[in-house]
Amino acid sequence: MTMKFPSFKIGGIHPPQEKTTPADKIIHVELPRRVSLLLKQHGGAEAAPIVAKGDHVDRWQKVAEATGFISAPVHTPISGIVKEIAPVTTLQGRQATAITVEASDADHLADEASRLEQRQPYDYSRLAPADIVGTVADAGIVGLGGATFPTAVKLSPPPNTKAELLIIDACECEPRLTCDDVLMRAYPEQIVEGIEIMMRAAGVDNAIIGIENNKPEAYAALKHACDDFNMRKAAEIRNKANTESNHLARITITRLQARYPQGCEKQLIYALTGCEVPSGALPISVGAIVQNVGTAYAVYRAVAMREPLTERVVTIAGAGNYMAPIGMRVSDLPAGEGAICAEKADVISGGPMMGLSCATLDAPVTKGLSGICVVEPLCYDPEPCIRCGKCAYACPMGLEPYLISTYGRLGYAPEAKEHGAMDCIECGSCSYTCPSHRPVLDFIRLAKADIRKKKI
Amino acid sequence: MSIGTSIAVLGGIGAIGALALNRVAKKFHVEEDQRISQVEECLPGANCGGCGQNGCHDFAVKCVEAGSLDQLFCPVGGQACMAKVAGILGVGASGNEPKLATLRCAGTPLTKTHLNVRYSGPKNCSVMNLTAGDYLCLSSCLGCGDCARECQFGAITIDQQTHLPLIDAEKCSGCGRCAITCPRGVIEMRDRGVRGRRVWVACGNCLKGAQARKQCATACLGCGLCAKACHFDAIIIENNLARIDAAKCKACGKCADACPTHAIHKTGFPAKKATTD
Repeated sequence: MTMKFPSFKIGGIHPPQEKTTPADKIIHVELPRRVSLLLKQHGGAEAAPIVAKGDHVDRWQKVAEATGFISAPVHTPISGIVKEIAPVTTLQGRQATAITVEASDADHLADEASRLEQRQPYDYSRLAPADIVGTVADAGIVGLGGATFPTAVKLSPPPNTKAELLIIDACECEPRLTCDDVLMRAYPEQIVEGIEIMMRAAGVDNAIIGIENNKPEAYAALKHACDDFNMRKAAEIRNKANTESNHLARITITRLQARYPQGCEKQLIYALTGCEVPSGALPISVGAIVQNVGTAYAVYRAVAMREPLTERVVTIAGAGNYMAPIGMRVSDLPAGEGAICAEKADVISGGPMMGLSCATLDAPVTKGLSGICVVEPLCYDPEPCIRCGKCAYACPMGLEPYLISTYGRLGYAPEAKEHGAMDCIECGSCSYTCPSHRPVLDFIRLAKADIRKKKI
Repeated sequence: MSIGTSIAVLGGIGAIGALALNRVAKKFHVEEDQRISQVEECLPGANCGGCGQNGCHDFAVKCVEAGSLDQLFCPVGGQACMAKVAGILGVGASGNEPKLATLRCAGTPLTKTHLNVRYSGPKNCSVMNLTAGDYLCLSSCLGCGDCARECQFGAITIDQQTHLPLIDAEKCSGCGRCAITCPRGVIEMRDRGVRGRRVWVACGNCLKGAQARKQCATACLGCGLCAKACHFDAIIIENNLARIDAAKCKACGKCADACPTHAIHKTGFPAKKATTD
């Protein structure tokens, strides 16, 4: 008998999972000799450089400072000389300012040696919540699920709201990607510790990890770590060893029915709690904070190991999962080039559902890059809409994609907004289900860009 | 008998209806300034929106209400049309001439550097512009023909070889809709020039010379050779890009001959010179 797992309410699709990339180990790569650190790798304002051309920077040194509340600093993964601060081409083919650091042989050897050092964890138990949030902000941590919203901002909710629950997104509903899966299998204890740190920072006593039922190994590993944690906390309360916390902190892990797009905030909150986040509101309006497992691991590294965010796991679909230093060229990743340079194929940064086409691979890894996939190019010609309504059934936000898409195409921005264009999470379920192969989402994106431009 | 009754009944209904319509028309009659319809007759009637109003009627209303024609100009009808409007209203006409849509890109698939992947989304410039498109140059024409679809006068067609819009100077009325539609601002409204002689910079790439050259073989490098060749100081180099000041340009074409990348185009010159290019 199969178990019935919870999931979100409306819409959703079941694309082929194709999670064939080996998820049993993370491949650590040699530090690159040259990194290009984009100033804007996060949602919000671009960071401002605090080093000048010709300066010598050390590994993990902050090279750009956050500007404004919603922003994040940037750190360098290697020691070296700042070669230039100039525009470089991003994966999407746009130009963006980046700080380029180049390591000499001596720097490179010193970095590699310091990587092998065993470091003692820092005792953060006496840190106040505000200090933890400060450390997280200072480490440049952003949401590693792909949206790259600064984590510290999410952990410090606005004054008139109260966070009650921390939700950890371990769904990885995007096909082909296994970067979260591999992280959960490799570092379950560290992830749980990262969750504990975030719970303390946000002042919540409960956390739920939502994981899809297609990742049994990761579930088992995390479940084990959570049980350990819960037992330890219960024992602490019994012994009154820790007099500060009278509340019993608990982390539970819930398996969810695999369905796309479960990893989107609002869908995940519904699946785990049954609460619906109102249109245009943030998860905090129902008392929830949603963070990705990758973010939890980065928080652990930042607070317990005092390391800023300078590397992340990147799935090269079909080849493996790499712990890639941020700023490294994607084409320098081992096996990356081989898996990628397929002629007549589209290369996507991110997963095949929500990812964006890569214009070039001679571009730096960013904080938000979860993977690189090669997909068959779409060779369908769009046919007229037959009004079947499949897109409306598939839309997890309950919108009418065909309508918004038409408004977008014709440039009717106010009407598109009225029909909820800004609620669209750009999951691509509509384009995926369309039997006429219409580029529904592309025109919704156009409508959204139009609405933002015209400030309606 | 039966026919007579029918005629009488239907005729009666018709007469009552006509009377009612007459009364209603008189009761709800709106006094409209007669000049509005007179002005409207002078306008081209294309309803293209090039003047910024919703069609020719709105423009006529605006002309009559405004009292002066300072801010009002019909780009399609041009000077002749505005002079007529000014005659009807008894005010001075504004002094613009109809312009011509000019392409600020000459990059073809042969000259532009391709990106590693091809764009496979909808054939729509606005959507394509949300991505990087097919080419490295971010100021180049996307070639999906939003301008051609938008043109009310059928003046724009997309060349199948170069993927660039071909603008028919005869048909172009200068309404400027294509320039507004183009998401990358590749189309610029420029003067038609004396006897059709025109010189323009067919590039909008603001990157430094070496980078621009990498992106397209016919990019303006901002090298300044054209500015040196110009006897009238009509060329200004701004942001690594040459710009021809229409007020000073005498359309001699020296700059076009001097440009090392053929980024400056000229047209309307005698055939002999054109062949020496």
